[in-house]
Amino acid sequence: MLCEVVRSELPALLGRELDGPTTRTMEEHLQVCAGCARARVELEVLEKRLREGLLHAPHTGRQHDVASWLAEHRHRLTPEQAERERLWVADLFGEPCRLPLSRARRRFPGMRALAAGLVLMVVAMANWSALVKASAELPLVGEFVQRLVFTDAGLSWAYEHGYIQKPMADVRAGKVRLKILGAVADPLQTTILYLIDGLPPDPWAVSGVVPAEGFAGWIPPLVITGVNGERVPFWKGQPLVTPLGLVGMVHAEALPSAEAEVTRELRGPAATLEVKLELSRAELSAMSRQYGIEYRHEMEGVLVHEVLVTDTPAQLMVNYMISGGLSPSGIKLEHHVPYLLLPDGSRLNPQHARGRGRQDGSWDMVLAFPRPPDGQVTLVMPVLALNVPVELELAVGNGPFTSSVEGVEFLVEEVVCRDGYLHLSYSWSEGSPGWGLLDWQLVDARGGLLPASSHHTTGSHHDGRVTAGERFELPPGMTITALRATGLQLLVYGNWEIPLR
Amino acid sequence: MTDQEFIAHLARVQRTMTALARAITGNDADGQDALQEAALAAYVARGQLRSPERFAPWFRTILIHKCGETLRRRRQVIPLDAACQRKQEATAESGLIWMLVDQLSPEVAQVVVLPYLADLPQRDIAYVLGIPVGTVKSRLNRALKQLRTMLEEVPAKCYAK
Repeated sequence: MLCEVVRSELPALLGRELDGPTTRTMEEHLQVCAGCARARVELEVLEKRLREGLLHAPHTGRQHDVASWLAEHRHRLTPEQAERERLWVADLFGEPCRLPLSRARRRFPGMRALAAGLVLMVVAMANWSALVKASAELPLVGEFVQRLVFTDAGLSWAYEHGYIQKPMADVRAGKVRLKILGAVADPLQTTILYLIDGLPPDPWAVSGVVPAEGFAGWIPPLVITGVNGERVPFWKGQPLVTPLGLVGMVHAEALPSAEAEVTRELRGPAATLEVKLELSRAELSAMSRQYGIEYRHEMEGVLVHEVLVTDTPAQLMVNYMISGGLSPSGIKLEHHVPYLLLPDGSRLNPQHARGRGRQDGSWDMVLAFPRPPDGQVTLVMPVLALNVPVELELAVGNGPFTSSVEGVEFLVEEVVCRDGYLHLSYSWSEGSPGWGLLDWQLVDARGGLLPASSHHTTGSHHDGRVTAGERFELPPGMTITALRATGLQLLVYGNWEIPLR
Repeated sequence: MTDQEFIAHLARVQRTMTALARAITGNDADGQDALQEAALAAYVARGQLRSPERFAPWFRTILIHKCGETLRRRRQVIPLDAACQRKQEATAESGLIWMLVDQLSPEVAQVVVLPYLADLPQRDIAYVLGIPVGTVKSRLNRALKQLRTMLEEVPAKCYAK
């Protein structure tokens, strides 16, 4: 644990406000770090002095005699004021807050209960099936949100340290409601957790909501703007469909300046929603450090270099470049994921990885790991996937058959058209250097080529073989005779090892 | 609790509560307003206090929330006479501490007084002041650093009891 973090949390530790695991981690650090242990003793002395000193306020000559003031003014309170204050205090201490009854209701107190019962009965009868469904599903909502929070080390840290307590924004228009459940801005990325519910069945009624590829629901766009109006690029995650609505997470690049605004708009005949949120990365930046590492390693034309490490209280993020002999679609990290090798030999997998292609054909990659304990850490990337151009045509209607390209043999189970889609199922040996086909084109009856985007449906492993499935939407009225792959992923075993600290 | 008993309880705690309200709101005028509002609210709700010996923490809770309301209404508008309030003479340890707290900016002074005088945890301080817990932490650390420096600069024996 970083000394700066420990020292910033010392007041909370002495006040016994931290949870068990954090307290244990801090106590362990204090036992081995003389500087922090000394800071704790100094803080204990200072806190004792403050408590004793503040307890007895000195006479200043301007002492306000509130007791005398109250003795004089207590009779000037109107009954309405008195009732409002009494209810305010009752609410403050958690007692049931009762609204004042009208004279008629005071005279017939049973009428209120009877009327409420009748209303409830009518509502329940009208929505019986919805009520049964809601009562079965609602308890899961909290778990959904928590599950999403704890899948992200940044959000999880912020949640445990009290940065996420209640929704940062909660706006409603008509039936559509948007809540920003939490946001964390650190030196390398910004994470925002949101919930949207009440979207109409016709998504185009709210024009700000865009369809997400491969997802039955709708992902709301979100704009993050710096103080000078710069737009911050972001990556949308797949939201979870919960009984209360869509719960999703957005990972964005670091805020362009210490302060920034997040705006969110949904516009349409059904709803117009706008929320503004002020974000700052100043606080987490102060608790983080960033440093570069001299590293260059090339294997079969794939070069990894320019490594930048960002060590925040919650995460360890590694930014690096991959370049050399790549096609524009670039390198993808697939089955052989990179990991952090810890001093005790254990491994830590990344929480998320993302890459951005650059004009020179190289790729700017970011890996984010939950923050490992202090000590030596090495990033290990056993293998990278290189995208090489190929030409492989698979005729529709045939199968099973085998086809090979660049020394990689594929077994094609089926290439068939049904229900307006073209379905492809194929497999290859796990020991093969290939890792799937990509960059597809549809071939029509006259030999014309049409770029096709697929929904990757499977990627299972059985009996030493990897099986993949692709599904392509067919243009209406067009006869497709074949499917053409123009890219092949080849695995490059470079075993890139980068000592990070 | 009778009216006389309530006023007697209030008279016993008013010095500390005045200082608390002033420290949270940052100036005498707002502190006095919050204290009066808290006194009225506590007075009309005195029937809800079951144990009179718990008067001080009960009233302190009401006062802190009234101060929070005052702050939300005012939002960091500091009156011109704020500087004049800092000319206290420190004659004892408590006077010294209060004098040093007064030298802090109002928003920093709030996060020192609330945990050490009102025993509020950081989450509650954040709620009362309407700021994130992280801001409470950073302000508190800044305040403690400033106070430590100021205490080192002032010879403590000059203010011995």
